[in-house]
Amino acid sequence: MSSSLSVYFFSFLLAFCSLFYELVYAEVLSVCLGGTKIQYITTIALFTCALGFGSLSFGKFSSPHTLRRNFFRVELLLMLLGGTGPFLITWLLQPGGVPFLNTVKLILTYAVIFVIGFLSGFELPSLFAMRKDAEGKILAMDYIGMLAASITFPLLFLPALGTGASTILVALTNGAALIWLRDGKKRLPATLIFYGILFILMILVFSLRVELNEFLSVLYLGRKA
Amino acid sequence: MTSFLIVAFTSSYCSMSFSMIMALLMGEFTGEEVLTQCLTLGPYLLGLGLGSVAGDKFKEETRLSRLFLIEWISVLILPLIPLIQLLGIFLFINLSPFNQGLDTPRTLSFLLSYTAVLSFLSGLLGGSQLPLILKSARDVKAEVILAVNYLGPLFAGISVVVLSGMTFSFGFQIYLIGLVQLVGLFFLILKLPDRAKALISLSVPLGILFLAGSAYPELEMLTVKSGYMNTRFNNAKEIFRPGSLLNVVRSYGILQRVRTSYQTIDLFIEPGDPKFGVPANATLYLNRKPQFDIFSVDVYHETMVDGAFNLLGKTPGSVLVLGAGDGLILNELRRFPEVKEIVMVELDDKMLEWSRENSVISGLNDGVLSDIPKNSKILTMDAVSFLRNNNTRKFDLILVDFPFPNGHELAKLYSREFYELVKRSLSPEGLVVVDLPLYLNEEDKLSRESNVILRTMDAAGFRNRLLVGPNAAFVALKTGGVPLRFNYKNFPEDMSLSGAFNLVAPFEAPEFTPADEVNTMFWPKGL
Repeated sequence: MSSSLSVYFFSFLLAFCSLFYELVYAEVLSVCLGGTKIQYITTIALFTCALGFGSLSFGKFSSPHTLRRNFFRVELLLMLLGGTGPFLITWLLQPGGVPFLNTVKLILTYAVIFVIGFLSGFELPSLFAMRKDAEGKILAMDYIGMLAASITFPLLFLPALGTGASTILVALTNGAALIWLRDGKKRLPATLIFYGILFILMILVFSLRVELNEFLSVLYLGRKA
Repeated sequence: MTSFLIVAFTSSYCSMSFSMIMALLMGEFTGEEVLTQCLTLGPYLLGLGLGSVAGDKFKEETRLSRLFLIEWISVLILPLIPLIQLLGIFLFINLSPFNQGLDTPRTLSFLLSYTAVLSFLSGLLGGSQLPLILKSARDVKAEVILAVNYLGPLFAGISVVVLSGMTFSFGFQIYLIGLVQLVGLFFLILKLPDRAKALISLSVPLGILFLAGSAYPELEMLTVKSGYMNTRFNNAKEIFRPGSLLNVVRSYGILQRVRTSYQTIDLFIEPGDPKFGVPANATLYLNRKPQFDIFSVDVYHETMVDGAFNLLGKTPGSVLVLGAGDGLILNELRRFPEVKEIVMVELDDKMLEWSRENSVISGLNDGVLSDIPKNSKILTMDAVSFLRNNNTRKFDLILVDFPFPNGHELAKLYSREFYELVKRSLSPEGLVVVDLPLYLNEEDKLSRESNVILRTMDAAGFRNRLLVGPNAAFVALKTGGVPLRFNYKNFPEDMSLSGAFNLVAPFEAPEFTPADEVNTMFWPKGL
C-alpha cells in the first residue's frame, strides 16, 4: 500500500509530533497553573495511558477500506488540536470566573491532553496495517521519534522559538504527513504545490515567532497592564 | 488470568514510577525541571520500544521462564536505579576530574546523560515484558492486557505526584514501588511449574529492596553534604578507608532536610573550629541553592526593608511581600507598626511551618511566624496566582523575595509577565524591591543573567531602577518619576555597619537596546 521508507518516516514524524504536542501542553500548563514537575508528570502519565487506549480502540473505528481516510482525519484533528491547543488552554485558564466553571475548564484542558494521546494511539496500528511485515521497524522509528521530540523540545525548539511558534511549526510539520496521506504519489504536482505552501507557512511562522509568543502572553495576562 | 493482568500492570507501573523518581531527583539536583523531565522521558520510551522488540524475539517454549527471569531482574535492578543514580552523583562530585562545581554546564550535561541512560534501562526492562505477557497469557484477550498495561503509567504519575505531595521521601517511595513489583512477581510465580524454587528466589530481590530503601537516605545525606562542603577524594580507595574524608563528611555538622511539595529545604549547621578561629554557622539552602547564612542574614533583610522605606520617603500604607517564607522580612517589617496593612504571600505552607518551628530560623526571625503582627496577614498561595487574581488592591510597596532563578520554574518568577502582574498591583507612586542575583563577569560588568533580568524589568515598564549591593543585592523599581536616590540622612541611626555599607554605593542599571534578551514565561531566555 505504501512504500516502507515513507511508512518508517511517518512513524518517526508522527510520534515526534504527538509527544511534542504533549510537552508543549505540559509547559503551558506549568505556566498557567504552576508546578512544572507536577504538570509534566501528569501530562506524560495521561498521554501514555491515552496512547494505549487509542491503540486498543483502533479496531473499532477503522477497517481496511477506511484506513487511509480515517488516518487522514486523525492526523487533521491532531494537527489542529496540537497547533491551536496551547493558545486555547492559555485563554481558558485565565484567572477569575465562577469556581464551577473553572473546574470545567480544567477538566476540558486535561481532556484535550487525553484526546491527543488517544488519537496518537491510532497512528501505530494504522501504520502497521499499511505495512504488515515491518512492525518491529515501525515501532523502533516511533520510539526514536519520541526520543527526538523529548530532546529537541527543551534543547532546540523552546530556546530558539518559544512555546507558541514551536507548536505551530510542529503542527505544520504534521501537515506534511497529512498532505502525503491525501495525495501521495498519485497526484504528485498537487502534493508538491501543497508542500510549497506548507514551506512558506513555516517560514512565516519562523518570522512571526516573537508575535506568536507575545500572543500567548497577552492571552495569559488577560488584560492590559 | 488475573496473575498475568497483575504482572502487566505492575511492570509498567513500576518502571514508569522509577523513571519519574529519577527525573524528580535529578530535577532537585540540577534545578532544570523541564530538561530532566524531557531527557528522562525520551530515553525511557525508547527503552520501552526496544524492549518490546527484544521481548518479541523469545521462542515460544521459553517465554514463561524468560518472562519470570526478566521480571525477577527488574525487581532486583529497578529499586537500585535511584540509588545508582545518587551514587553516580556522589562519585562525580568527589572523584571526577571534570567536576568544576555542580552548577556548571558540563556537570549538568554529565548528570542528565547519566540519568538518561538509567531511564533507558528502566524502559528496556519494562518494555521487554509486555510481548512476553501477551504471548504467555493465551486465555486473556490482548486488548485487555494492553489496557491494564497502559493504566500503569497513569497510576505511576498519580502515585508519584501524590506521594511526593505528601512529602514521602524517595527512600520510602522506593520501598513502596518495589513491594508492588514484588507482588507482581509473586503472582507470576503462581503460573510457573517449579514454584518452590521461584518463591525462594524472591528472597534476593526482597533483600535488595530492603537494602536499597535503607541505604538511600544515608547516601542522599552524604551526597548533599559533600556537595555543600565541596569535598574531593584523591582516589576511589580513599572513600572506604577508615577515618577517610567520607567519615568526616558523615560526622561534620548537621544537615536538616525537609522535602515539601514545592522544594527541598536544607539547613546545614556547621560547628566551626575555635582552634582556627572559624565560627559556627548555619546556611539555608532551597533546592540545593544557598539563600543566606547567619552572617549575611541581617544585612540582607535590614537593607532591603530600610532601603525601601528610605526610597519611598514615607511610611507605606500597604506592603505586599511575595515569598520570604522564612519570616525574616516580616520580622523586619514588625519594626513599623504604623504600616496599616502587610500582606505576605508564600506558596509553601511547609516552609512557613518549618520556619516557625525550627530553632535556628525562629531564632533569626524572632518567632514572628508564631506571633503574627496585628497589621499582617499571611496567605498561603502561589504569588503569580495571587497577582493574576488581584484586580482591585494596590500596594504602596511590594517586596519580592524569591529564590534566585536557578532553573526553569524559578525563571518564570523573573519573567516579563510576572513583572507586568506586579505592576498591576502597584499603586501609582508605589515602589517594588526585588531580591536579585547581581553577578559581575571577569570584566567587572553585569553578567548576562543579571542583564537579562534587568532588561526584562525594563520591558515590563519599570524604567526607574536603582541597583544596590553587591553584597546583599537588590533592585528598587518604579515605573517613572524622579530617579531613585537614597536620602542617607533618613536611615535609622541604629542600622548595622554592614547594612549601611551595603547601601553606600548604589549603581544605576545599564541602558538597553531592543536587541537585548527579555525573559518571558512562554519563551524563557538567558536564565
